[in-house]
Amino acid sequence: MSDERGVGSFAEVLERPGVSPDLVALQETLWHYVRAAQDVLAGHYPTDPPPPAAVQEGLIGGRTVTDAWDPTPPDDLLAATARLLHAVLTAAACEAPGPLRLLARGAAAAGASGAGDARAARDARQTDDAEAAGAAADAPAADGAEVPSTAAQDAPGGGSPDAPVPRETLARWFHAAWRADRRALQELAEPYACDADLLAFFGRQLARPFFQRLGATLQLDPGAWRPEQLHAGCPLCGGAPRIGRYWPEEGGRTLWCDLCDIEWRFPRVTCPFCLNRDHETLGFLSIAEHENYRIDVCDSCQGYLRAIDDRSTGRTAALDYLVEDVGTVHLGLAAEREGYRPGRVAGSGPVG
Amino acid sequence: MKLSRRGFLAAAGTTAAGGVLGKLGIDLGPSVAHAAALKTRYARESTTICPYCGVGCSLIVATMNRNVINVEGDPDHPINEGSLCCKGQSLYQVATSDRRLKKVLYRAPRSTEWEEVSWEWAIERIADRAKRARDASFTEQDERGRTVNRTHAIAALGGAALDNEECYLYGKLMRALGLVFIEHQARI
Repeated sequence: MSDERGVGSFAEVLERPGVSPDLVALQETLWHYVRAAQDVLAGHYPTDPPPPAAVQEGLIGGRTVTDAWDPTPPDDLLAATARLLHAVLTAAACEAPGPLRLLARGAAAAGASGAGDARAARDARQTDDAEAAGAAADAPAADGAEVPSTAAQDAPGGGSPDAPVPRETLARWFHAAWRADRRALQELAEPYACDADLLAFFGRQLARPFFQRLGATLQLDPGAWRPEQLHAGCPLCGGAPRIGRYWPEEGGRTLWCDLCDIEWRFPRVTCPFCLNRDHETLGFLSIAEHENYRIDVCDSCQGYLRAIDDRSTGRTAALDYLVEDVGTVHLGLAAEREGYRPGRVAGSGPVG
Repeated sequence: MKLSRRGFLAAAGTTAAGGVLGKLGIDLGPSVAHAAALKTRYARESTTICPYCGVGCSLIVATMNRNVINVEGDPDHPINEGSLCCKGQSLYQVATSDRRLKKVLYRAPRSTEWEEVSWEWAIERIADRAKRARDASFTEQDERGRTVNRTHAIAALGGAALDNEECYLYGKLMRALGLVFIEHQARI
């Protein structure tokens, strides 16, 4: 499904009511990175695919595949994708100097090997200079709001943008981001005067092509039933599902992970985040204008899950959940008005 | 994507609060505006078992404000995996149809009219009829002189909504009356 997603689907979603063009532009930009990174990773990642036992554990045993198998890629691949993400974001004039800086310097550190060090360090400095020039050239915001300096955008901490970047920084960032490990991200952010939320977001974006390749190799059958042990979160990365879908005929529900771009079967009348099965504290919101959608809610963890409801439409075609995610932000906002929050699986933090 | 400052709204961690998207200068204005006009209605789902035959298919019942708004097969139950026979599927009507009888209706022999009667009267009448039919047909001995103490005029077909304990009492009652044609519809 990943390869079929074209620019066209993002263009179509702009015609739906309540869609934010800014958000579509951002997701489209990030998709360009994910797509380009697939070419870099093809044939190289995963170097050794997860063993069948780990895959079975993730599907049947109630754990995730990555509980039993470390998905961290080798440094050179991380460096290559970091450089790619940096280039894509720079071309899109993305104003997130902290993460951009860390991408560039982390790539230089991870890709550096002996003789290449001097050149890598020089590349990193040149990138920083280009960013500084770009930031200084920005016009003040039209509404007269304070023009933020590069340092002011990021969290004030004891750290400095020029703090030395060890070789393993990208790997640490990768590991902290896909796990949504709030504390590890904070620890990573401080030395470099970066905002932890932005590091969380861009780290997750960096990791997407890797996890999507893993997801594709697993070839998970969305209809596969996991009767032995229920666990919340994506079978591959353990993260919170982003969107759900109700299917026609039997009315079963599947969930989708935005990091891994995989879909898996999950029981109904069960909270996908906290596994609550008490029907008195589970419910769903329906909206008259959007009758082919519903928002599953849990009064125990206050989490909500937007879901496409195809029970009446009879539609069984594969859907582009990335586009649906961008196209249903208003449903999430309506749920938040009722007091619910984007669902979180225990042990993971928000990634925006 | 021009960066602009956005203050944190009261609720942290929500899309509306901006969070990361706000820090990137992503304007969610169109979505916020559209969402403001949307009215949500809250509903619940719970599972139950079909009251009819012994297969025991599971259903998901959706309710809103204590009214049943949908009944469908439970896709996650191993017995029926979301499917329902026509009787189970019609449970929605059992719950919601205004054509459900609320009073006992009786049509006297040869009458063309239904009349409303009370439960008490109806039960007395049914007991009386059953006893009379049984007494009129009761056989103490068969044609070879063996003691049988039975009636062939009445058959029992059980009832799918009866549980095990009710079926046990039902069987005892039928045998006490002398029936031998004792069956259960659920296994036919």
